[in-house]
Amino acid sequence: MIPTTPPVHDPLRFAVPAASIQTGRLLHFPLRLADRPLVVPGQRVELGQPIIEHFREQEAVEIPTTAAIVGLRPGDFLDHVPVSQSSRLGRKSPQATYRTRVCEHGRDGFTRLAAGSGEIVIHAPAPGVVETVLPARIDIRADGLAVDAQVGWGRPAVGRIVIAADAPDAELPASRIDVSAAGAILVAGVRLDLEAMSRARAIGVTAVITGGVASRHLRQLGSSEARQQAALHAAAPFGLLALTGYGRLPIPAHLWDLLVAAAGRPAGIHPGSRTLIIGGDPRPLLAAASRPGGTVRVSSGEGRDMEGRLVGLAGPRRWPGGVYAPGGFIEVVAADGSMQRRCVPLSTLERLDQVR
Amino acid sequence: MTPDAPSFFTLDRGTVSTAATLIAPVEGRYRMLAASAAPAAIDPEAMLEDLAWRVARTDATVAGSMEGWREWSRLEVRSIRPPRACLVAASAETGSLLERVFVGAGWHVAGRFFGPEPDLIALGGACLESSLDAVVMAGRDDADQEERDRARLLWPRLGSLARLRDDLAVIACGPFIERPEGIPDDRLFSLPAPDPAATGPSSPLFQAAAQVGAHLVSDGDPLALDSRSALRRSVSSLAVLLGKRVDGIEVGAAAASRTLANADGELRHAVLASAGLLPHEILDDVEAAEAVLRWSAVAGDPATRLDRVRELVLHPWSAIDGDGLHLRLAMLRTALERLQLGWDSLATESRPDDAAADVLVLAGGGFALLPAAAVALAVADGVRRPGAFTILHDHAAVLAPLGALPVEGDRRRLLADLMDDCLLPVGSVVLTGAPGETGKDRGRVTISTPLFEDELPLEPGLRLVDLPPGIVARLEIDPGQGSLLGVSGQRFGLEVSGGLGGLLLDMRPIPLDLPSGAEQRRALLEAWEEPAWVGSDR
Repeated sequence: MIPTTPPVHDPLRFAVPAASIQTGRLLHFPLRLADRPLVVPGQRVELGQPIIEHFREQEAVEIPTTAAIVGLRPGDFLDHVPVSQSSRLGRKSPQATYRTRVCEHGRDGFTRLAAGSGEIVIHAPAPGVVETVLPARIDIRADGLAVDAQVGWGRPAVGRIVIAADAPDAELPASRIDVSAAGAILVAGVRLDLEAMSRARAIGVTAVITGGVASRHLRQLGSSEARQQAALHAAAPFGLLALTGYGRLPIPAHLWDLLVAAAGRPAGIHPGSRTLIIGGDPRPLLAAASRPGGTVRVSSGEGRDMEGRLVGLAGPRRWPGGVYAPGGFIEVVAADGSMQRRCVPLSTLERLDQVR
Repeated sequence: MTPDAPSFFTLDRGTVSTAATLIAPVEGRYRMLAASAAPAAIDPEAMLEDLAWRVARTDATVAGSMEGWREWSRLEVRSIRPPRACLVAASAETGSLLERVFVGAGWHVAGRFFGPEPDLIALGGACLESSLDAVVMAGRDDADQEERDRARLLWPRLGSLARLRDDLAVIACGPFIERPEGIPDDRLFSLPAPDPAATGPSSPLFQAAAQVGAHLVSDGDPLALDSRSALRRSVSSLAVLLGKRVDGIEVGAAAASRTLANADGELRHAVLASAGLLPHEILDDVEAAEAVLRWSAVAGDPATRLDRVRELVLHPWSAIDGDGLHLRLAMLRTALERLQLGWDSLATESRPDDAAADVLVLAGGGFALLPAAAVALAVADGVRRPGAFTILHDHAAVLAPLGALPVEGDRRRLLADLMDDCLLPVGSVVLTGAPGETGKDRGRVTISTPLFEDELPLEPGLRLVDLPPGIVARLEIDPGQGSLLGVSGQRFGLEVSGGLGGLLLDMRPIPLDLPSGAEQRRALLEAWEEPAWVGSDR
């Protein structure tokens, strides 16, 4: 029944929750046909421990099905498969045998195998426990604090967190990246241009965390990666996470506070699932990222990345551009310390008071 | 309607947005009293409470009858993401038949391997792709012996590769008797073989493919009614009710659907995964993103625009400023273009649906937020069918939930009551194509309305006439020495109704001939769009 007086409407119910920051995240690592897991279910893995032997190139191999191999199931390993001279891999191990996984025992009397070459070892981006090992994937329950990003590129990588930018909306020039950052996961502000990215990679930075990433830089990174894959030796693992999205975008303030609190800690990135995992006690990090009840962040448009308190609903309004959409009143602290009330589209708000 | 007819809510829960309405009896008929839409992450209960409160606060007489609103019924439908499949067949002919059916049934075809000896590594890689829901193998009894032999060899190979995953469904379309080893019952499906004579919605394979697809992606909520199936029913009911040929076009974030019906019932229907407004391929595939920018009138650095398009896919509710709206329009045009291409490719032969329908009913989040004239322009750009048609917009997303009503009579009664509230008149489009060679007398169109009269020359291009909702205009077209809509040498007349977007006279070529130069194309699109954004703070 509707009471005669309005209820205490909680305007926060109309703001989308920000991405959660949580411990115990299940990370999925996909395997290709020839890839080999280096762990078993139930096994504990440490940060940086090899977990997958990944092959950059794969080739199909056919051998006659014999009694010795007919019992192998799809996904099982089969080593020492002789290399036929007519179908040698372009770049292969000197043993002149294949290391393969079984794909099929064909009705035509041939067993089809996937052979790999150009191995790359994938390391665990977080300590944790292996929950599942299947022919197609490995699942690891990570111990650390998982932070979601919007864009991921590259391979899983580990390092200590180094705050390189001065502010969440600052850009990091290439000249400020030096060898002291070797082995680090670099927090680089709004974005990193390609020159800075190349320099970071060259001096041994393992990963970069930014607010945004330009599509053209991703394309150039892809081309660069393809060239490196063609080289004889595999490049060191390198990855990138953009926490906010595409373009020149600041790191959200609450995540910046979390990263600053995590400076110096061991961490890892898993670009495939767009996740950063930070080791150590999560409580100080959550405390740094937490916000008082009612806090929201403006995620786009005018006042982007501003934090304030959502104090009421404004109903449908006409916004610049001519769109009609529901609005909300937020109170923000102005530069002079006074409290200002602004009206912003509700759809651009994300609530931060549930970040934990 | 009985005096104690119940009030109820409708909920259309999409992959990106949720739309809700409150419908209640008022003076002997059902009326839509309030509507809202919000990001899908918002709790629907909060939305329903807000609707009830808005009505209670604004109309005390209605509020008096709103006791117990928490217990009111809900007509709820849900959009599902398109299921993804890898299709395999021993011949290109069987494969293309299979693809035709699965594409029409709303599947996203992530890979296709049509031939006697598919590449093992590529096929295995496709099966291992974690976003793939099913691998589908087709075979036909009426195929030649060689194809049947190859299919018998391929089938166990597919089963072996599918076994590498514990969550991949295996679908056999045709005479595959042998059961693949290691695939549990709940992941194995047996469907009819593709039939060259029956690839449409009434074919057994089409229906089975749609059902299996919905089952695989329903996220453990098998009772939720699919919004596209429900909308399909409502469009057919509406066509019967109006006694007109109705073309229902729905563009959602993940997929689009189209239903053509007339007073006798449904003529055609298809769900197309490739025609969603926000395809995630845009995030990885530069060509997919550039296909959107091809339709964009936004100036500036192409790399920045590419980033903004990708941002729209990541955060569909965020960009509601000027450039964000223009990119949204570009995405809608791209989606409609893909929908038309897919629709045409699924047509069997020359069908009577080549002509424009009398009424176009637009539904789905793709049309939200944009000004009515911009919506009409996007439709004219994407669905280039010659003729005159009225555009209505299901702005509150009510049609799909009404389609959840199992009894046709109930649905028609509600539609009759709610039509005025729920179907916003966007306007009318007269789409003629470019006038032919006209000689000295190039012809003219005379527009007569109770508000004004105007005479315009027939010349290639686009013209927006301010024709408000509720006003009917009489168009007298004199093709002069040329021809228009297949008529030459005589005058002819049309009646069109107004709308929020007015009347669009579209005498551009069919199909559109966009310049290949990026800046020329952008300038032309900007010129076409300019009247559509009047008053929109561009």
